[in-house]
Amino acid sequence: MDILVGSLFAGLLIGMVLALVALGLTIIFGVMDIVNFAHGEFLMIGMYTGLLTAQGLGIDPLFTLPVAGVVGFLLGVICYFGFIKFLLRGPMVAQLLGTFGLMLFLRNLALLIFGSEDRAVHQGILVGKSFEIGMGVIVSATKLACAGLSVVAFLAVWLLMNRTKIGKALTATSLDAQGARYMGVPTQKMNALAWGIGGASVTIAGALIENFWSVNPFIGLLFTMIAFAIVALGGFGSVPGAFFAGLVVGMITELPGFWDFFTYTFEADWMVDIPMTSFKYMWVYVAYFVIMVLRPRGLFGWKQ
Amino acid sequence: MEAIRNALDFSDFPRLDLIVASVVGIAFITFPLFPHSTFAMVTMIQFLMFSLYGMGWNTIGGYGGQVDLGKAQYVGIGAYTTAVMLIRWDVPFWVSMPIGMFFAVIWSFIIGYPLFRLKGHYFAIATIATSLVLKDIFEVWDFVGAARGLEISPIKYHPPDFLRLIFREDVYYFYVILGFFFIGVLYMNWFRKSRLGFQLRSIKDNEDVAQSLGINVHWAKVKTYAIATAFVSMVGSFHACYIKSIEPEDTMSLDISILIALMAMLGGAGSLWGPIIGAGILIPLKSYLKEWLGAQAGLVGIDLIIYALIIMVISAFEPRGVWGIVEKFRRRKRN
Amino acid sequence: MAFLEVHNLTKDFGGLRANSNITFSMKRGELIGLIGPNGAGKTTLFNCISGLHPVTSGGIIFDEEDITKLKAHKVAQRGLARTFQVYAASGDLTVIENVMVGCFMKTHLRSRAKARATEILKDLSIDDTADYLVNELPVAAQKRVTMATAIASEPKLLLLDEVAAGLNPNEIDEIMASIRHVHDDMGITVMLIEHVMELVMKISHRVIVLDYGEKIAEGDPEAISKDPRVIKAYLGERYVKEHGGAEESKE
Repeated sequence: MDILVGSLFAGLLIGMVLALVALGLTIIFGVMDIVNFAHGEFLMIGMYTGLLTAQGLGIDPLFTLPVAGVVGFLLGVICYFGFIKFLLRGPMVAQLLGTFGLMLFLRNLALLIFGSEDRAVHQGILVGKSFEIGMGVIVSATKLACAGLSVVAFLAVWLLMNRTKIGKALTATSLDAQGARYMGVPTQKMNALAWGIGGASVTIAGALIENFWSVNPFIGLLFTMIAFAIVALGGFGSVPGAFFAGLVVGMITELPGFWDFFTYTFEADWMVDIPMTSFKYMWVYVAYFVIMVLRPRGLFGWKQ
Repeated sequence: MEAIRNALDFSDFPRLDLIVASVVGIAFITFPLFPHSTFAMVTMIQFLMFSLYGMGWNTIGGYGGQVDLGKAQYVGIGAYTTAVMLIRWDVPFWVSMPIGMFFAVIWSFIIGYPLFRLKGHYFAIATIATSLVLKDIFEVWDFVGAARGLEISPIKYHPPDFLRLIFREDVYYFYVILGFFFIGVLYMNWFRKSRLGFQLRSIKDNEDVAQSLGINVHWAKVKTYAIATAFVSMVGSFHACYIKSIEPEDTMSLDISILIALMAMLGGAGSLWGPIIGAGILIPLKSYLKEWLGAQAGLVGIDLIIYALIIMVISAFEPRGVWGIVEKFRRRKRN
Repeated sequence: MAFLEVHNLTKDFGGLRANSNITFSMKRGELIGLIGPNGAGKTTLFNCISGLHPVTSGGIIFDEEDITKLKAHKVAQRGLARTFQVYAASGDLTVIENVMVGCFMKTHLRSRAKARATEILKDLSIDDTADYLVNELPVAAQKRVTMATAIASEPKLLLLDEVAAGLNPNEIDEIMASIRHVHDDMGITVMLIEHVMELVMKISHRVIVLDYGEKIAEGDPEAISKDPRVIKAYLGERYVKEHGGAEESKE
């Protein structure tokens, strides 16, 4: 029983962080209909930023979030003005391949600068500590803190989008760019802002994740695909959608835990042989496919 | 049959194109007779392989306008079918290749039917998802060697073995793939003039108009997707016999899928020569960059950085590819 | 026996009712005009008839077959062709290739499709543009191309959507001649949406008028042009929605 609850809880926690990863993607897509293959690479950069800042300044990794955020914001804006702006004029094939090129570029640049070995966080206030939350379920303190900070970041972005003038301008642009332009909303600046906010949210997510996940230049792709799945499930363009879909996907990745629970409870030996752990992320892709075919708009989306 | 006549008839191309194509064709045929390095031969073979991959992709991605970024899974199906059948049951290439194509096409129908309900970005991401799923399955499936993959050791056989396609010298492989290449070109020539080809182009133009011209859009896409998979699987089978060592990470990764799409896009998606031109630029570029730059100590990955920059520049500034530029130029001259 | 019958056709888009309870019928060989102010639902009606949109309620019978639930490509295969108002071409097909797509509905052979396409282009006097991309042509020629593509499928019924929009008087005469040719000489029944009144009134046997999604009048051109309800629909500022009843004049 505690396996089940433990998996559920772990799934929720990781889900909250994954939701933050996906947030940036959905904002960018909402505002300008472009799918960013390099999204995972931004995350990777966020992870390295957090790691290096913490090690360089000797502070706790959790305090590096603002730095990561700034780096992400700048990165997003620079990418927009330097490259994405031109990409938007072309056909979708070119856009997809273009952001893929960006992904390769960032990935190999990181490889060049950082080398290919894994790096991880070893010190920190919360590293190695865990809580027990009843029913014999043990939760790592870092994961709990990260999930909490994730939710905070999410709320911050949601408030920004819905309660500030700039946020409303962004929403206007995503609903109807031309109309917004007629109302005086500067599309280019909005696009750049979307990339900035998107970049910042994912780099912050990276700085959070690197507290319990080691980093190397190649982990970007996995997160890009997870982010895609979350955004598609939650509906492209929907901020709350990204949150709930993130939780769902988080729990899907903990499926092996559920599977173990079932195999124990029902004593089905044949089930044990199926290597569910290796399939952790595969189920995310399957879920994406199934959901998209059955309900293309996702759970909350309004963009088709 | 009119189909064969159509395949052989290149008369709707301008003279210049045909002259260049013939010269290049002859150059290919006679290539091994000229002094060349092993490296050049390997690059040539890769070029021909990727031209074929690109041509296959071009049917659904170029003429059809459906951006498919999951072709690598079919490379895998073709490669693994041939490899497994050779290693376990000593099945010759010429039998396992069509069987591989058969499996590939079956799989393409299974996922193609639901897949083509999606459009645009959603479709593209779904193609990636399916390809990664298959790759993940292959990585844990012991029957195909899981993550270690499979190896074909030539010592077990007696090269040159034309049945099993095991040779010691590359030049044999070169002529086999060149043969496939010419067949591929003829097929594409037929395709772009066929009813299905026209239907696809109409679909790419405007799906509503295509529908009201009696075209069953969904079915046309699914059919073409199957054709593309057959192409890719065929070359995948060849790949297994040539490289002789396959594993999911090499054969079925996203990088391969993107590379395939890139061939056609760079050269000019939706045109006959496009994928060939694209492969002709990208494959030598990739190989030589790796040779000159990649090996230098301390500069790991710089060849890929340059490669990535090229992709970015082309996507941003000339998305219609090289052939697109040629056609634009010609059109302007005519008007 | 009616060739095309539409009963009580209603089409809703979420909360918006684009077509409301429309009923009319057409005989084989007629030439019917469909007019009405912008937004009246004319193109939506065409979309419903040709199968592009599913209807919310009501029925369509074409050549004694119920086509209400048929998808667009099946409707087209039964001999119902149409043109589109806004043709967002991606510029990939030349004129003759466009028409050939239509021909491919009737044949599988390229040679036959090409021959037939060339014939049609000659018929509509645009054969000299055969190798140009559609969007390289002037508007008038583009309209002829869309007509040519539609008739290439050898339809029994042709729906033309604003083929005269954006044409100058000379071009309007030319397209009128083309329409007459298609109708009289090729024996195709035609229904056309038009805003250019002189064209519609001169050429149609009967005219149907839509406004705000409803059919408000039907009759021969002479009667329609004098019908107060029609005049109000086009010129009146406020329009009281009353089907066939007397209206208050808001002069």
